[in-house]
Amino acid sequence: MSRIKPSHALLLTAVIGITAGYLSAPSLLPLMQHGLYKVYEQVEPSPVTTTENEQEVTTPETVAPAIQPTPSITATDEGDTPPTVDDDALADDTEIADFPSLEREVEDDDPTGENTTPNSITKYQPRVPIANEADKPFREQTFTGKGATTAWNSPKTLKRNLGAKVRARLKGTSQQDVENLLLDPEVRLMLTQWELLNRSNLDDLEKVMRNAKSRDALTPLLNDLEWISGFVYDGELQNAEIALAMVAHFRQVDPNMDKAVTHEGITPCPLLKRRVAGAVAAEFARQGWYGEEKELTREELAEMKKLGYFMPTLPGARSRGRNKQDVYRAARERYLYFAESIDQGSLHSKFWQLPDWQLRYVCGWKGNSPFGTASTMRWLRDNCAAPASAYVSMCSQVPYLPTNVYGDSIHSEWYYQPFDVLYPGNFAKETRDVGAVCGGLSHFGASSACANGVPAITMGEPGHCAYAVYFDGSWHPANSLNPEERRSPHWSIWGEYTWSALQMQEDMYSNGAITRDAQMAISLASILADQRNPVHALPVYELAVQMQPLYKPVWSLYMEAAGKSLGRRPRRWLGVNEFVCSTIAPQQSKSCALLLQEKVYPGMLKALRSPKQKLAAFESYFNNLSTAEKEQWNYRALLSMQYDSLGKALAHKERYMQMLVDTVAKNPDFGPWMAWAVIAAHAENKSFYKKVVAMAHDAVARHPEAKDGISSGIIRGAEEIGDIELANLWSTSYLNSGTNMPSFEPLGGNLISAGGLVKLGSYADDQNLVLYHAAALTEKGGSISSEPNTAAHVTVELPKRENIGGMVLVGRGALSRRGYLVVEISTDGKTWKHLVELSREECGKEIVRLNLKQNHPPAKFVRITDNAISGEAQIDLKAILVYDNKKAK
Amino acid sequence: MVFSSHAAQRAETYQNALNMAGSDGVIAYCYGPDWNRRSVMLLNSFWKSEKLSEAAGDAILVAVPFYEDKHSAEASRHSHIGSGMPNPAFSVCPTVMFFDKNGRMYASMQGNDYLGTDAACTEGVKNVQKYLQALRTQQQLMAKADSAQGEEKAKILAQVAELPIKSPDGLLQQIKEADPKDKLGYARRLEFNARAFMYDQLDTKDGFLHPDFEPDYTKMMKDCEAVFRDDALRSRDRQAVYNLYIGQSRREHIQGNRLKGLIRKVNKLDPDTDYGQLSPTLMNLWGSLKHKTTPEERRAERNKKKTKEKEKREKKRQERHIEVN
Repeated sequence: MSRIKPSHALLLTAVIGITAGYLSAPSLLPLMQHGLYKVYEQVEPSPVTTTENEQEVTTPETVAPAIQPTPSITATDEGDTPPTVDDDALADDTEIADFPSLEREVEDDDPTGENTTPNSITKYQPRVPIANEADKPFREQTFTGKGATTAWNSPKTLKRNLGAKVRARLKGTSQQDVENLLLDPEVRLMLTQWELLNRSNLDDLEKVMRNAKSRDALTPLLNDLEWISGFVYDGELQNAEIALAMVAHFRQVDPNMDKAVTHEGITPCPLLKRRVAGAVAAEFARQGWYGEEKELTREELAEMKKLGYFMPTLPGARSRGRNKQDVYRAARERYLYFAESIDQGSLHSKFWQLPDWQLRYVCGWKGNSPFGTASTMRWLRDNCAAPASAYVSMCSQVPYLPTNVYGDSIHSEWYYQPFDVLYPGNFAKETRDVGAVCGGLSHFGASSACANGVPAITMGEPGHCAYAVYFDGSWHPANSLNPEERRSPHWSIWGEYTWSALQMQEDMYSNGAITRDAQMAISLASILADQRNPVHALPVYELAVQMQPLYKPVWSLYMEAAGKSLGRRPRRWLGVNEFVCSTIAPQQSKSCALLLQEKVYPGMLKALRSPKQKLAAFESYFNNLSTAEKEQWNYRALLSMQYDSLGKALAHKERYMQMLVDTVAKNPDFGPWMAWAVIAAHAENKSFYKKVVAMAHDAVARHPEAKDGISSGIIRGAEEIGDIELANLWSTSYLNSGTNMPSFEPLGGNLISAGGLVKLGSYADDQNLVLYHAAALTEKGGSISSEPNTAAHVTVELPKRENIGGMVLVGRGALSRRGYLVVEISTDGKTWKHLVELSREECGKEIVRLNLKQNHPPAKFVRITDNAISGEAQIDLKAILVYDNKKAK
Repeated sequence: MVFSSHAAQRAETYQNALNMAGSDGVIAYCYGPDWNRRSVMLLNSFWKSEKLSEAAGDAILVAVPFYEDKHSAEASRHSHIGSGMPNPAFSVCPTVMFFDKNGRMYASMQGNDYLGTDAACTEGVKNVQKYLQALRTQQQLMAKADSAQGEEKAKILAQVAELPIKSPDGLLQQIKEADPKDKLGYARRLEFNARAFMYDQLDTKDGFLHPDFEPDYTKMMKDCEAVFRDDALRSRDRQAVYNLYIGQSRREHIQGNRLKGLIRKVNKLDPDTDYGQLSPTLMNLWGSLKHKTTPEERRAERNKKKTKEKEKREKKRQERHIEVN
């Protein structure tokens, strides 16, 4: 196709690119009369219906210079020559017009404020699987722009031009228009390049790209759609210009980066090393990992400088007292480790097929840890190669030794230092031979997985360190002692440090093609939002939300773009809510709750005008729940947010409580939620509180199978608010717990703890243990267990104030595994009097009798605290029996 | 290296190998066909090599695949190969496991530390030879022990325990029966656990030190010296125990030549063990440490604190007339 003169092209782009999606076919007539339609003929007119508002579009003041023809793609069967596209115009620096103003008043979709019918967002049904379709011509090869190397000399101009060119090709913002656009691989490449520039410091990038060596090294990658899209979209991209400078560095030290590596028995992955380079650079630049080695020597520095690249300085490098090149050296060592391992074929065979986001976890493994040095990883690769699922137990190779052979604690400087000389540069082997505690064990397990090409991360837990390994499509916790809400990954490719965020990523990538489409749609929307009339971006953001609601960044952008307009559209908000609940809640009640709390409710609850509408929104969540999470999570935050939004009128709150009780009755796994209901109702007034309890009674009558679930919630709630009567009433049928109680010599007095109330500092994961708290205050015994490592204390409120004659504590084998118990008493629950501290020997016993021989202090409360060291505290007792000082009846 | 004049035979399955096995038993090579390429490569360059075949003597060789995807068609097809093999605690690839003719695992080697980095696994071949030789020695010694009695028998059995392979089950019991009063100290040697000794001295069951705990240095010194002087124990165990004494001495602010002297004793006992090799480093690290208080002052301070705590607790209980039992 012949080139178009700029003067014509300006006008043409304005007409085609901007108005095609908005103008009806008759409006094209003048263009045809001017003989310009011959260029447009390749573009199908959009079937978008024209509205009255849309016809008021004004003609743009400026017009675009050139419209790119459909890419001249020639995919060869042999795949020797990658298909190319004429990309010269990337260097063009002509101003391109913005969309015409579409700003208009958004109509209020619910003037009554009572309409609870959602203005629905439909679940995304791709007309075609875009990513797959778009990649079709390039399977087994890569889509490559022609080059336009000089365009990268001026990143600012390039960014502007890329945005203009993409806008020029967009006919409208309907799903079909966006899908059509994304079907074009050239557009996908342009969008990704624009996004890369959007995340770069353009001044520094310009300095990097003005160097011919680095520009030559990078241009093939920047024009490789597969590489650049993985680099830009599969994980958070920060300091992109530094990451690119790193990749340029890798290419110089490894001239074979693009050489195909094949091994017998392994499905080849062309250009794997390119992708590894991107993953290493993206993570090291984002995290600023300098490695564990000493600073570069003068010679090494001179060597680096010889390379002649501009190496942008990582923010904060100076304050951390490091040479700016250190981070490049650390990243290079990591890249070379994986390049060498790929050449040898010595990594786990699944490594070869890892998607880019998993490569980030593997190749970006903690560059700031002694477990992340190349020498350590080499040893782990050669001595700890295991099937992926075996890495969850790899930590057991390290002996758990809190003190070393010299009697020095793991927390002292002398634990490893004497041994360093025997294990130069190999901290993993040193750890295996000398020993470690949880941190060392978990780092050993995770680093052995990553060194062998299996994704893994370490995680913090209260007083503990665990790790997780990715295989069979999900993250598997290892060496973990805590429920997932207490797990905080030490790092994550998306910069979110919760277990739930990891799971959401997992779900998000379970459909990677749609996720990629959504990400590109966001880039498109961002280009539109970058213009004078950001309202154009809204439908595209909304489409991206529909495509992949689990991709969290899209929500912030969507909400930002929606601005005030959604505030006037409560029914649309209900639609958003309904969409999130119906698509996510059935499988992931927690992920859905988090998304609602973080992204939907803040806007929606402001927009909805009546409690009736809010109840409809909340009901949508409850109705879509089906599977309870196995472990505890902070469901109370969600329930409180919903409940508090209903205002002061108790009628609506009563309806809400009924919805909640019905949900628990249908699915008793949600039993703990009743604890929240009891606490919230108690905070209102007595009659409301009674109503909620009556609802629970009624639910148990209707659903006997839900009795344990509901009872555990009610008892827990009663304990937290201190309602002795309610707790004991609901515990009546659980007084025979079947606990095997040891016999003991009775104390002289009468048992006064029976009928009291237990209140734990923290509650064990197994919610049903709460049912046996009342039994634990009787001589039949029951169970009182706190969560390990967290608030290890229990308070027993006696039915009435009495003079204490003695106590019997019965443990599960021992009163305390590692600590020593402190017993205190109080008459008001506020001022505590120290009674006795049990020594470690005494705590090692199963039963301890405390006989108060002369003084018999009055008490209403007894508190027992486990003061264990090293965060291993836990209350785990079969019985707490309190006796008075009177003669036994 | 001395190779057997015989070349090892190969079997298709572990069970066949066991049926064919003579005194040299079975050597199994575990590899991961669907997940570990290096172990597959070593099948040819190491496992099927002439050198290994010679080094393995009369042992029956069998290669056992371990699949990651245990439900794959290929895994099912090959599941019979390793059938009957005792749970190998297999975790690392490649692994070589050694079984005697009764199927008892007596040794294993995993990873490059044992196999070496070259394709022919030169180090691994040497180790095969070493373990096999140890097995033969073990068998000879056990046969010799069968015809011996009393202390002579205990002495032979003690030699078995020193071989670099796993001892036969019940060896300790046999030694105890042969030398019921443990006059030769062999039972003590095998039963001694340096880590348990250390935990006992530090009053801990799991290695976590109680913040209030202050060891009785005089007692520890006495106990450690006694163990160190006990010739019946292995030198590495004696060194380990003495290391605790050295560490505690440093914590007690003992410094200079006195501390160096203790470190030197460990090195002198056996310079070849890892603890022996660490001595020069320790001399540098700790030999020049300077403390402000003397050991005596520190000990007095520690005892004072300890007594005070104990008195305080007892006083409280007495005041409140609480009896704990």
